Amino acid sequence: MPGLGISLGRGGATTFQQDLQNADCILIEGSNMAECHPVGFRWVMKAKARGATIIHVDPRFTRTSAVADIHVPIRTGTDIAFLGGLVSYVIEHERYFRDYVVAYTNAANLVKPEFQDTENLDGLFSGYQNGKYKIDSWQYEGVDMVPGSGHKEAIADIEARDPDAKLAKGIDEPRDESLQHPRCVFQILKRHFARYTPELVEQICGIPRDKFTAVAEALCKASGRDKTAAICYAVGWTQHSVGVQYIRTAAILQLLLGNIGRPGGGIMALRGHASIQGSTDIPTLFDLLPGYLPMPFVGHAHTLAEYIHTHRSDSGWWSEMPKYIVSLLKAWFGEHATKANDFMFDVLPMLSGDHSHMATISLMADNKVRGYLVVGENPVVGTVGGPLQRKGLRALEWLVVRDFAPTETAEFWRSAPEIASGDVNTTDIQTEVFFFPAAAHTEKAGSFTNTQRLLQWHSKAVEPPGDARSELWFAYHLGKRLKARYASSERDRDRAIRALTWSYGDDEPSADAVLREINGHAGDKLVGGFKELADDGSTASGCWIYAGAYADGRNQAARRKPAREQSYVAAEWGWAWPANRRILYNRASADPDGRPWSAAKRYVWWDEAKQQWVGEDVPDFIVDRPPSYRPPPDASGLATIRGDAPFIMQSDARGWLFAPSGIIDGPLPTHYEPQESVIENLLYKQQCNPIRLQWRRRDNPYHRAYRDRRYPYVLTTFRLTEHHTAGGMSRWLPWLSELQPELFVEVSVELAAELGIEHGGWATLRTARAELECRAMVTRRLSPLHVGGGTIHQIAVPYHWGSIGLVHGAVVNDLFPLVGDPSVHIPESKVATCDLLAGRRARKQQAAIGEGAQTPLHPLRDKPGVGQPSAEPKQVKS
Amino acid sequence: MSENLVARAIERGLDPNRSDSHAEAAEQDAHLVAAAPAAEILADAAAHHADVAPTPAVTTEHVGYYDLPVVKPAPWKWFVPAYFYAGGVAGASAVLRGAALLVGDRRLAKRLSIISAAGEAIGAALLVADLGKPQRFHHMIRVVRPTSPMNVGTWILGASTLLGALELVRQPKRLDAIGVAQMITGGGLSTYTGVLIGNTAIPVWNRARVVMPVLFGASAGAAAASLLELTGARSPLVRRFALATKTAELAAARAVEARLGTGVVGAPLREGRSGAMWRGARWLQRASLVATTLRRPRIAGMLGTAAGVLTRLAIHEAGRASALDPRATLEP
Amino acid sequence: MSETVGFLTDTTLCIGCKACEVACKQWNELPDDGFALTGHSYDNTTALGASTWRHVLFAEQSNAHGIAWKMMSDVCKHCDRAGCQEACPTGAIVRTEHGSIYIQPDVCNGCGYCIPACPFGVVARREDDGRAWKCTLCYDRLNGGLEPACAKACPTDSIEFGPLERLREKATARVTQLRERGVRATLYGDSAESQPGTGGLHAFFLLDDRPEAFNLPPDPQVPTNGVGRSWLAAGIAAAALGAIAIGAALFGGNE
Ligand SMILES: Nc1nc2c(c(=O)[nH]1)N[C@H]1C(S)=C(S)[C@@H](COP(=O)(O)OP(=O)(O)OC[C@H]3O[C@@H](n4cnc5c(=O)[nH]c(N)nc54)[C@H](O)[C@@H]3O)O[C@H]1N2
Ligand SMILES: Nc1nc2c(c(=O)[nH]1)N[C@H]1C(S)=C(S)[C@@H](COP(=O)(O)OP(=O)(O)OC[C@H]3O[C@@H](n4cnc5c(=O)[nH]c(N)nc54)[C@H](O)[C@@H]3O)O[C@H]1N2
Ligand code: SF4
Ligand code: SF4
Ligand code: SF4
Ligand code: SF4
Ligand code: SF4
Ligand SMILES: [Mo]
Repeated sequence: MPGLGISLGRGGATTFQQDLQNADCILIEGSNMAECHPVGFRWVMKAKARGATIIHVDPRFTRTSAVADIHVPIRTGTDIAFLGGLVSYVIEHERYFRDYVVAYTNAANLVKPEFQDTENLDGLFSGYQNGKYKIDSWQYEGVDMVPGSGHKEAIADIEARDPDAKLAKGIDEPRDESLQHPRCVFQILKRHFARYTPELVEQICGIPRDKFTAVAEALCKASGRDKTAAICYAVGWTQHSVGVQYIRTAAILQLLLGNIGRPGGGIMALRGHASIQGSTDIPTLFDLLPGYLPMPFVGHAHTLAEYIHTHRSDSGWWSEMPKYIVSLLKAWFGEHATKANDFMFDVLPMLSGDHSHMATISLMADNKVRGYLVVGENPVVGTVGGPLQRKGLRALEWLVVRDFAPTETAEFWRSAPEIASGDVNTTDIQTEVFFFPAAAHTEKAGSFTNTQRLLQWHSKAVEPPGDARSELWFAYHLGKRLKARYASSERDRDRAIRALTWSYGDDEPSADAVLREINGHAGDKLVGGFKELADDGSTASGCWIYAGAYADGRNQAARRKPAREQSYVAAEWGWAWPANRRILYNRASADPDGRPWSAAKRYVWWDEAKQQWVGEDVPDFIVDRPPSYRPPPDASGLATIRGDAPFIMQSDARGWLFAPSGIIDGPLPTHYEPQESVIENLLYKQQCNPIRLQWRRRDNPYHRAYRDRRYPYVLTTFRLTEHHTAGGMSRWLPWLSELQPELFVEVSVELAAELGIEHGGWATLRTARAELECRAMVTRRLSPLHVGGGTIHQIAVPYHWGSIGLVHGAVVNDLFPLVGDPSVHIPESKVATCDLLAGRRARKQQAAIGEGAQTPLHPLRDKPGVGQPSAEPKQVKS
Repeated sequence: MSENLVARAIERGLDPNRSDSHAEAAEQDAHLVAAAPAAEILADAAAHHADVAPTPAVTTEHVGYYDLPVVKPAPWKWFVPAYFYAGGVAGASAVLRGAALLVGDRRLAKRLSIISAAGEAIGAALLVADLGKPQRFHHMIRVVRPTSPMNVGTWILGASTLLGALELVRQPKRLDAIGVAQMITGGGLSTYTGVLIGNTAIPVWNRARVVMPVLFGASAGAAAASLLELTGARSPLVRRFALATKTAELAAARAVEARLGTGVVGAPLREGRSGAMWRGARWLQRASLVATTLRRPRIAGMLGTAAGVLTRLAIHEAGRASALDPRATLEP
Repeated sequence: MSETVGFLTDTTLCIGCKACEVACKQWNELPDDGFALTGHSYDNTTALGASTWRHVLFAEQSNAHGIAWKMMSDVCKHCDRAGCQEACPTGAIVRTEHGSIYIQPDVCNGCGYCIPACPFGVVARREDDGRAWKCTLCYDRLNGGLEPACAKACPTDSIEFGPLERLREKATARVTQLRERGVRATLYGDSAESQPGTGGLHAFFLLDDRPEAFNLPPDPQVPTNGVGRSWLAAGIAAAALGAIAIGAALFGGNE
C-alpha cells in the first residue's frame, strides 16, 4: 500500500480497529464497513455511543450509511476531488494543526525550482516523458534524490539511480518553517488544491455544497490538540486507476489535521481476505520481497552491492535495509549464502517488466503462458475481464486449482457462459485441469495477519477430510520433489533450488517452524526483533518486519490474553508488526518536546526521569532518544533521526505531504476521471491518469473516455455481508445463500421509471465486454446526481455470483475491462460505464446463469403460510 | 389503540385516530435519523434534505412491513372444519335426544343416540388425522389446562363420547341422570369450538369471540335438525326444533356480522373466497328454513346440511384470510 | 427457579449483518427456508418461522427529509403471559427456570393451536416433522452456562442478553440518552404497564419508529384475555340449545 507507505513510511493501517472507539469523528469513505467489516464496526458504534460523528461517503446508501450521522452520495471515481476539497478547506480556513504540520511533516521543505504542477501543464506534472515520469524535478532543493521508504516505486523509471547522487537526510535540506516561501511544500500544496472549491466539488462529485461543508466542519471540529478524527477506507478507494493517489490525499488530509500517530486518529486501511495484509508483508506480489524489500530489476542490480546502492537510504530507518536483505538471503540459503558469494543474491529472479495478474492474463490469451497455479483464488469470477480470463485459461497447457470445491475457475471448461451459449465447445479446449482439495483454516495450524497488522495464531481443530491438504503441505512437498529432482543437477541456474533451506518436518510440515524461520535467528538463538539483525551474515530472518513474532522463544502470535484483563490496546493479544506496535508513528501523539498534546489524547510520551519514551503502546521511536536530540551534520543512518521527527521510516523522518519519490504517477494527488466516464475532466485536458495501465487489444475493448452514448450510466460494484467475494466460500452454504439468493442490480427509482424497469423484475446490463441479466432492486438508496446542470445515473451490482454452488448468477466481472493503477497494478473494478435495459437479455446466457435466476420473485412463503419452511427443506448437516 | 401507542402518537404531535399517521411518523423519524445526532453540525445537511424527492412507490406504499402478515393462520386442513360440523351435530343430537326421552319419543331418541355416537367417533378421527404427530393424540389428555379451550374441549369430547357410547348400549326408557349428563356434555361439545377459535390472535375470530359460541351452538342445532330431516325423521318435535334452531342460527350469524362491523376485521366474511362461502351458507340456511316452513323436509335437510358444512368451512377460511391481512392486526 | 433472563434488542444499534440469524440456525441446526429473492429490501427470509427463529427486518423509508433504512432482529418475545403456552393442550409449552417459554419437542403432538394463539406470529409447524418450533432462548446453552448464540454473535450489542431487571434499567437509560440526542426512541413490551396485553415481554425492544414499521402489533393481546366471557357465552348457548330442545318437545303437542 504505497499510498500509506510513501506518505508515512509503512504499508499498513496506521491504527487498530479497537482504537476507533476513541475517535471524535470517523470518516468512512471507499468502504462499506458495516457490511464488510461488521465485527470491527463494533468500535465505530462504540464511538458513536460516545457521541462521535459518523460520516459515510458512498455512491450508495448502505447498511453503513443507515447508522451514520451523515451520508454523502458521491459520483464513483471522484474522491480525490472531494478529499482535495477538504484539504483546500482546511488550508484556506486555516484549520490545520500548525504545530504538528510544521514539526512533523515536510510542509516546510523547499522543492526544486524546476518542479511544475498540473495547474501549469494542463494535467501533467513536470518530468512526463513517453508514458512515464522522470522525477528529478520533484526533489527537495539541495539534493538529487529523496529516497522513498524502500518501495519498488523508489525509482519511477527502471534505469539505475546515479551512483553518486546526493540523497536527502532530513538534516540540512533548506526549510522555511514560516511556511511562506513560494516553493515550500505547504505553498505548493495550497496552490495545487486551491481549485478544489466546494463549487468544483459539487460539479465533479455531485455533492451539494452544504453537505460538503457539513463534512468539512465535522472533521475540523474533531481535530486538533484535544480531539482526533479517523478515516476508514477499503477497496472503494483502491480499485481505481488512480487508487494510490486516493489514499495519498487521505494521508495529506490527516497530516494537515494532525491526526496521524494519535489515539482516535489515523487511517484505518480495511483489508480483505483474512490474511491479505500478510500476503503483502510476505508478498504473493510479483515485485516485492518479504518485508517490502524491492524485487531486483534486470539491468541495474546484478550484485548485492548494486541492489543495495539502488535502493539504499543514507538516513532514517530504511538505512538499515542492507541488514534485512542479507538476513533474508541467509534465511533462504542458509550456510550456502556467504559474504564470499554475495549471499547468493544473484540467484534471485530479476524483474524484466510487469508480471501482475492482468499482464499475465493477457499474455496467457496470446499463448505465451503454459501453466497456471491458482491457489485460494477464483479469478474467473473475482477478477475483471472474465471473458479474457477464460480465453487465457483455454490457451493453457495445464491449470492447477487448489480450493475446497471446484470453482468457476476450475470448471471454466464446463460452466462458463460461452460454453453454455455454445460459442465455445468443451471438446476444443486442450487445457489439462488438476484440482487439489484444500484444507480449511480450521484444518491446519498457522497465523493470519489481519487488517491491523496483527498476527493471530490458529491451531488445527480437525483433520482435513479425504485428500485435502494444507497449503503448507502442498508447497513443502512440491519443494521437496523439486529439490530431489535437481539434487544432482550441475546447471548453474538450479543452484537456488539446490541451496534452498527446506526442512520443516516430514509429512505435515510444522507451521511453527516456518514462523520461527520468519522471525529469524542469530546462530541457533531466535532474535527478539529486527534491531538484532546484521548485514554480515551472522543473522537470518525470513521477513524483517516480523522479527519478534517469536521473541523469547515464544509464539507471540498465539497469545490470547482477553482485553478485559489488560488495557484496551491489548498488547498481549497476538502480535502486531512492527515490534508489536498497535498505533504506528505514535511518537506523534506527543508534541515536539515529548509532552502529550493534551490530557485527553495522551498515548506515548517522553519520561524525563526514566529518560525514555513510555505510554500505552510500544513507542514507535528510538526508545531512549530525547526530544531535544539533533543530528550532527555528518550523521548517517539512525543517527540522522531528530528527537522530534516521528516518521522514522522516512529518509527525512517526516510525514510527506508532497512525495518527491516513491509514487510513479505524481508527487501530489490530482483528480483524473476513470478510464470510462460519463463526463470530461473538468480540471484539464488530461482526462485520465496519464500512466494508468491499459491493455489496448481487440478482446479488451474500452468505451469512449466520456459521453459514450451507447453506455450512458456509471456502473459500480460492491459486496454484501451475506456473501464472500467470488462466492466460493458462501454460495455453497444454505444459511448464507438463502439470505441473498440472487444477483440483483440496485437502480434508483428515477432511472427505473425512465427505463420502465420494475422492482423485482428483470434487467439487463451491457458493456462492450459482456451482457448479463439479473433482478432489479429499485430503491431510494440510490439517487441520481445533479452534476453541472446534467443528471448522472449510477447503478450498482454485487459481484458474488457465478455458475457453481447452491445459488447461481451471472459473473459481474465479465462487464469490466482490464485497466489498472500503475503503482500497484490493481484493476479498476469499481467503475466503468454501461447500459441498462428493462427485461431479460436477448441472447442465450440463461443456461450459464443457471436455474437459480429462474425462481419467481415472490416465493410461496410470501403468500399463505408465511415463514413456513420451503417444500423440501434441505437438512444442513451433510 | 393502547395507552402507550396513543402516547407515542401524541408525542409525535400526530392525531392518533388518523390512519395516515404512519407516513408522517415515518417521515419525522427518517428526518431524525438523518438530523438528530451532532445536530449543530448537521443543520446544513438537514436543510439540504428538503429537496430530496417525495416518498417513492417501492418503500412506503405497503401496510406495516411490505404487507407481510403479522400473525400466522392456523395450519389446519379441512379435517378441522369438518370436525366442527361432526362434533356440532353430535353435541346437539345428544341434547335433543335428552328432550326426546323426556317426552318418551324412544324411536327418535335411539336415532339421535346413533347420530351422536357416530358424530363423536368421526369427529375424533378427524381431529387425530389433523395432528402433525397423530401417534401422540393421547398427549391431549396428559394435562388438564383450563386456559386451553382445545384441552378442555378434548375432555368434553372424551366425556360425551363415553356417555354417548354408554347410552347407546343402555337405551333407557326415560331421561335419567346419565341422560342429563350427556345433554350437558353435548351442549358443551356443540359450543366450545366457538371458544376455541375465539381464543386466538386471528382478528376475525378473536373479535367475535363472545358471539361465536352462540353461532356454533345454534348452528349445531340447525345442522342436527337438518340431518334428521334429511334422514327422514318425521315428527313435529323435529320440525319445531328445526324452525327454532335455524332461526336462531340466522340471528346468531347476524350478531357475528354486527360484532365484526364494517371495518377491515370483518372483511373476510364480506369479501373474497371466505366471503362468498359465508354468503352462500346464509342463503342456504334461509332457503332451508323456508323449506322447513313449507313442509319440504328432505329439501330442507339437504339445504340445511349444506349450510352447516359451508358455514364452518367459511369461518375456517375467513380465519386464514384474516391472519394473512396485516391491516386486520395493525390498523384497528 | 434461577433468575429471569431475556433480551433487549436495540434497533438503533442494528447494522443488519444477520449474524444473529445465521448463528441461531447454525447452533440449532435449522434448515434453510429455500432460495428465492423477495424484493423486500435485503430481507429474503421474510418472517420468523419453524426454521427461522431469529429474523432480521429491513425497512426502507424515504420522505421529504431524506431516507432511512431501519433494521431490527425479531425473535420470540417469551411473553410474560404467553398465548402459545396458555393455548397448548398438551402442556408441551412450558416456562423454564430461566423464565423463558420452551416447546418440549418430545411432548408436542403438532395440533397447531399455539400458532394462531401467538399475537406475534412467532411459532410455526415444520412440515417435515409435524411439530411446532420456535426460539428456545437457547435453553441448552443457558444450562451449559453460555449466552444465547444470537446475542453472542451480535457485533454491535444490538442484541443484549441478561437478567431482565438489568436489561430494563439499561433500556430506560439508553432511551433517555437517545432522546437527549433527538432520537424518538421508545421501548416496546418492556413492562406489564407499557404492554398490559402480554404482561410485558422477556424479549423486549428499543424502537426508533412505530412498532408497525417492524410488523409488531401496536397493542398485542394474549388471546385468553376475555376468554371467560367466551366460556360464559358458550354455557348460555348450550343451555339455550337445551331449552329449545325441551321446548320443542314439551310445547305445541301433536298437531
Ligand atoms: N461480508 C463480506 N465481508 C467482506 C468481503 C465480502 O465479500 N463479504 N470481502 C472482504 C474483502 S476481500 C475486502 S477487499 C473488503 C472490501 O470491503 P469494502 O471496500 O468495504 O467493500 P465493497 O463493498 O467492495 O466496497 C465498499 C463501498 O465502496 C463503494 N464505492 C464504489 N466506488 C466508490 C468510489 O469511487 N468512491 C467511494 N467513496 N466509494 C465507492 C461501494 O458503493 C461500496 O459500498 O471486504 C472484506 N470483507
Ligand atoms: N468488480 C469487482 N471485482 C472485484 C472486487 C470488487 O470489489 N469489485 N474485489 C476484489 C477483491 S478486493 C478481492 S480480494 C477479490 C477476491 O477474488 P478471489 O480471491 O478470486 O475470490 P474468493 O472467492 O475470495 O477466492 C478465494 C478462494 O479461496 C478458497 N479458499 C479459502 N480458504 C482457502 C485455503 O485455506 N486454501 C485454499 N487453497 N483455498 C482457500 C475459497 O474457497 C475461494 O474459492 O475480488 C476482486 N474483484
Ligand atoms: S468474517 Fe471474520 S473477519 Fe470478517 S467480520 Fe466476521 S469475523 Fe471479522
Ligand atoms: S411470542 Fe408468541 S411464541 Fe413467543 S412466547 Fe409469546 S406467544 Fe409464545
Ligand atoms: S402444536 Fe405442539 S406446542 Fe403447539 S399447541 Fe400443539 S402441542 Fe402445543
Ligand atoms: S436464543 Fe437461541 S434459539 Fe433463540 S433466537 Fe437466539 S440463538 Fe436462536
Ligand atoms: S447480529 Fe446484531 S447487528 Fe447483526 S443483524 Fe443481528 S442484531 Fe443486527
Ligand atoms: Mo479484497
